[in-house]
Amino acid sequence: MTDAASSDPSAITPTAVPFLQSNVVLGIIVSLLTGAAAKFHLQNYITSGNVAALADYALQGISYVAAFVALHARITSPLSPVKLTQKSADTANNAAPVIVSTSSTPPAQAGFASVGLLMTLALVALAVCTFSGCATVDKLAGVTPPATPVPTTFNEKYASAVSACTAALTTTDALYKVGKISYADAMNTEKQIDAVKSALDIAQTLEAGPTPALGDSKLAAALDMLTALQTYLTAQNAGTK
Amino acid sequence: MPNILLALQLLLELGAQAQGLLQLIATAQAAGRDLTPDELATVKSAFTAAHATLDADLAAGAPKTA
Repeated sequence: MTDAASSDPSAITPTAVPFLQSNVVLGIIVSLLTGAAAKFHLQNYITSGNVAALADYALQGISYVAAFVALHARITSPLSPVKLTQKSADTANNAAPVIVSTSSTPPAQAGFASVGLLMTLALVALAVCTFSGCATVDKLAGVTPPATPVPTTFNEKYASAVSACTAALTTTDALYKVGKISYADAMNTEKQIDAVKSALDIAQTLEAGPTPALGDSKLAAALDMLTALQTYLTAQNAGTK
Repeated sequence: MPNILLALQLLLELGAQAQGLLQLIATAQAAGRDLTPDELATVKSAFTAAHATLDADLAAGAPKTA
């Protein structure tokens, strides 16, 4: 049967791609190396600030491009380099021709290629943060990135607390939609968020009145409620694992 | 949805929200002023929108009562 299969001209003979010639492997290696170089600020050995920032920008860019090359190779390349061991070669020589000749679909890459996919997802998130947060662009312009602003006034603290409530609502909605928390848990969380929001609104009303100090104390109480809500959500999350 | 995708989606969504708030505060502090009523209204409307979304999803998945 093996002889018949080996004499079949339509049979596909697995081709041994050297490990380091795989686009997936090369993409991951280049991405890791350039990512590590950017992480450890090797460009700081260049004395000029703008050139160093440009090198940082280039390293990150190469890292992202290499990750996407790995993803492209993962999608388009039919053979898995991790299967090209002596054992898999023996298997291919003996049994695979019969199997391969009956199927026109070559096997997809598997195994460690999924690491490249996960890394690509992480790098996409990093790219969004980098290019929307403009951290690197700030460096290119020779400007020190501004420090994260800390809420100081009542209105800033109020806005931060309301935004935290919004984030809690968004998280609750996302977790509920994918079934990570139950309907009852989502309802309970929403009620707690509403209570915090009510306390925040009362604090704002008091702050605008004749005794602003009352507003500050009510705001502090609302922030304590937010902390309690965070503890509740954390407990719920731990309970679903 | 796999947990890693859910985490990434939440990370991006919450990051965008936080960035909007930080931008508001940074702009106000750079100008040496407090947040304006319009800026506070923006924050409140984001809360209202998120609340409405959660309400709609909860209403769609509400358990049937006998």
